[in-house]
Amino acid sequence: MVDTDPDEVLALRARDNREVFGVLYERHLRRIYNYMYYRTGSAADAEDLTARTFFQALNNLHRYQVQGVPFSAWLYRIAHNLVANWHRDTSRHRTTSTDGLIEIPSEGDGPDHSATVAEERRELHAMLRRLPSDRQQLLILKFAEQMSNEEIAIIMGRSEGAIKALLHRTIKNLREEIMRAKREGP
Amino acid sequence: MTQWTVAGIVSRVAERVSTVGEDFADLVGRRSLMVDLVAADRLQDLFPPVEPSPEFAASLHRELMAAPLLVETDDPTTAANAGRRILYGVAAVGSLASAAVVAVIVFRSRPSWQRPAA
Repeated sequence: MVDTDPDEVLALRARDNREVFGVLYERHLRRIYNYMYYRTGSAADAEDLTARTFFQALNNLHRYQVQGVPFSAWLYRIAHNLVANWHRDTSRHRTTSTDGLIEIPSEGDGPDHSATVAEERRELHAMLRRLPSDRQQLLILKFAEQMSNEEIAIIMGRSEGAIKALLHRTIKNLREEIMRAKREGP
Repeated sequence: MTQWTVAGIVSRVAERVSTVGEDFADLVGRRSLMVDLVAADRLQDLFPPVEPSPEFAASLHRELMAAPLLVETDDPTTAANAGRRILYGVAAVGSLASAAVVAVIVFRSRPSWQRPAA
């Protein structure tokens, strides 16, 4: 029963069976794409980096060890390294890559309110983009991927306590950034 | 400190406190979404789930199924550590070289009667 087997079992079988890798792909595609989308702010870049993540995973399956980290964490580490390289290569465009972020209009408050919400959402995303890379990764894993601190700790190679502390500091800094942006005005 | 100086300080502090209060009130009023999201740690509302297009998902699936297996020599999860390992290696070699130089200097600075006979 491939569909119900744990990822780690499938990862071992996928070394010799491409169809089994297809099952892993189906399981993780949406989350990896979601992660890439919010790390890059662009659907086109998210597609490119998602494809590269799965190709690298496929070509490195022989290195994956069940006793090490969960398969999903291993996949996110590949994704993180790729997106880090992408940011390095395109650093001069980083602050302008917020185009295309999906807007969720609020219900029943009229077009004016929706426009305000959309604008605020864009501003907040722009602030997130200005955070250091590890803090962006942390916020996206926590709030976009909705992972536990334990899962994030495995992916980022830190202790759970360190993740909790970093999360606290990051949200505090974000609040201060909002205050600063307000003081400086539009 | 004169009475006027104290009054000036109190006035400046009062002005600063009232300005901060106005800022925050204005902030809450005008930027309710941002404040609400961040203050309540409801940041997940900022990241609604996005999905790849079905065309992209199907196309990538086909490519993965058809792709020849290229066994990579560098583990992508440890590639980031490679630079650090090189740095540690260089540091270790540097330390050894420094120790050797110190040993030579100490040896040469000994009085001649302490040196082994040639």
